[in-house]
Amino acid sequence: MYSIIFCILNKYDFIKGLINNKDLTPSQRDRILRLSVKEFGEDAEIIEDLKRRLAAIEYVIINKEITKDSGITDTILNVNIYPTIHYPQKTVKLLKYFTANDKSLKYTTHSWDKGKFSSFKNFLASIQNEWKSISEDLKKQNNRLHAKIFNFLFNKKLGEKDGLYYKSWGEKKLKFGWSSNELKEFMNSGENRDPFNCPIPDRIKQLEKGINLFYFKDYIDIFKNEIEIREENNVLKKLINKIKTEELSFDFKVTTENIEGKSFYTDVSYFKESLKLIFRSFKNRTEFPEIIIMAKSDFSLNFLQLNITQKDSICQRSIEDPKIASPTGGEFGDLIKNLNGLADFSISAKFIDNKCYRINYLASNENAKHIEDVENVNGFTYELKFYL
Amino acid sequence: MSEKILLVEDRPSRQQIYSKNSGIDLKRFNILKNVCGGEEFHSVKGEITKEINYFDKFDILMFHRSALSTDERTMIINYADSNSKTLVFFSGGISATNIQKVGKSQLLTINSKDFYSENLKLFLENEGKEISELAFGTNWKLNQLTSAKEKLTLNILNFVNEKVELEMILDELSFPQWIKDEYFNIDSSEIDKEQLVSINKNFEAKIKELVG
Repeated sequence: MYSIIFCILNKYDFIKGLINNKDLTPSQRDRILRLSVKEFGEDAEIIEDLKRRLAAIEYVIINKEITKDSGITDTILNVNIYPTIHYPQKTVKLLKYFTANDKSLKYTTHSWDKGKFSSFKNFLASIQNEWKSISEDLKKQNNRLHAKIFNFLFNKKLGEKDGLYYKSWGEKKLKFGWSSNELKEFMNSGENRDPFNCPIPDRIKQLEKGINLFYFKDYIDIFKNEIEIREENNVLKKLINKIKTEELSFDFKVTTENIEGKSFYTDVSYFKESLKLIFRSFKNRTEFPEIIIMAKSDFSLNFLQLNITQKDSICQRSIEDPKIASPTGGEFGDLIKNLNGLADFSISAKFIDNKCYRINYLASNENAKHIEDVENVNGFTYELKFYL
Repeated sequence: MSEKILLVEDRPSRQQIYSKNSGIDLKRFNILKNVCGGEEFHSVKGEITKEINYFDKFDILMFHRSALSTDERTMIINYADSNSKTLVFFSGGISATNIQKVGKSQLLTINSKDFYSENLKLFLENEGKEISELAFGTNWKLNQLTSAKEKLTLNILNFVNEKVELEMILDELSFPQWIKDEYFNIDSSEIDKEQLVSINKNFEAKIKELVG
């Protein structure tokens, strides 16, 4: 493995040396660049293989104890990293703090009844305490989701510059939250103040031109919709329609089944990114323009499964091809990264051997197999399983 | 008269305060079964997972959203769809009033403060005949038309495509079913800007008529 890397690096240094040669004419330099692209293109397969093997090593080193003398053996190199076992149910359990009647955190997203808290200071102390009890667990589950919630609740410097960027939270990079100074001032400016009615200060409105949010309740509303797909207002269907318009041309027809009135906790930004990646993959195969999105609930195992199918499309790879069976990058790698800790993720399809398989990438069932035979599929299907 | 509307609330103090503020005496409505906290609340909530047919006897089911878990909510939504029931979720966590069609059912989502308002009294006095009364009060038609006109005007201003799929635009704008039926009853599956402008003019005419 190291000799391959060494060889690639040598080629790189050699080409760099040639290009740096001041005696070359522009056309000679162009020719070297064209030849280099060709040369490295042939190495792409090797690099892909190396990436896969490196990921396997990392998996073993990070997730399993290895003894001093174990070394890097062929056995380790052949370890398959899928399905990755993760615990999306735990993320959901932690997000339920935002609706539980006995939690103060609920009142960061729900309107306050009169006299609910003796003071704003006490309210903040109470949510701080509850946050402490879940913060570490949530961070392990999904770092980005943790950061979003932390900034919305506790970042006192939202709207201040941190290097090149402003401190903010969420997809729209909003710069006002529960720990913003102006909210504290508003709450202390009179009896029975409702935090939801706190006006957004001009300094924030100036930074967020074009967003047009006027009260803190507007920010709270956006936050709620960033941690949960909610049944009200047909959010799931609208989201699918929006991504369809953005990513697919009019040649594609998307039909949905049973997706109205569905709700589940997740990091909605990650979910959107995942849907975009999936739709983009469909775009590469315009000869199969029919997309079917179907939701089914299982109440005994408490999940909602979203199947997104490109009808009649089959997988053009072999089931043994690591690019599909054990991806380390590309679209599948990004999907796995996005959905880790949020949803189980598998694909099912007919492969070039004319057999149908399911490949499980992210699973919460520790006994899940990497590859399973399935009876029949009606196209290349992405399966996302969200827990309720 | 039998109880055909079910109200399930897990926070009696909130119901008491809000009802008092709105001057509603829920006890005087024979049509309403008010399950508010205590053992009965747990028992009725338990029926969602145990024996969902318990809800057959009601036409309208109103629940505090946060009192139900996500799976219980999904179950009751599925049940309402299969049995053509009207479903209401109220919660302090809901910021806008919205009525949507979910399969064969109607789902109203509404903030708790707006739920326990005079509109609830009006709705119960009229025996729960029109869910839009609970959502928007006496002038519900005018209210919905005004809101629809505002949404459609914004959409027309931002309209860039030659045509759009009708279903998609209706989903995006979340119009109530009666507005879809009365104003968007066209033969094509696509709609263009000119047609939208014409519908917007019809909205305006109806609003003027309702205002009188």
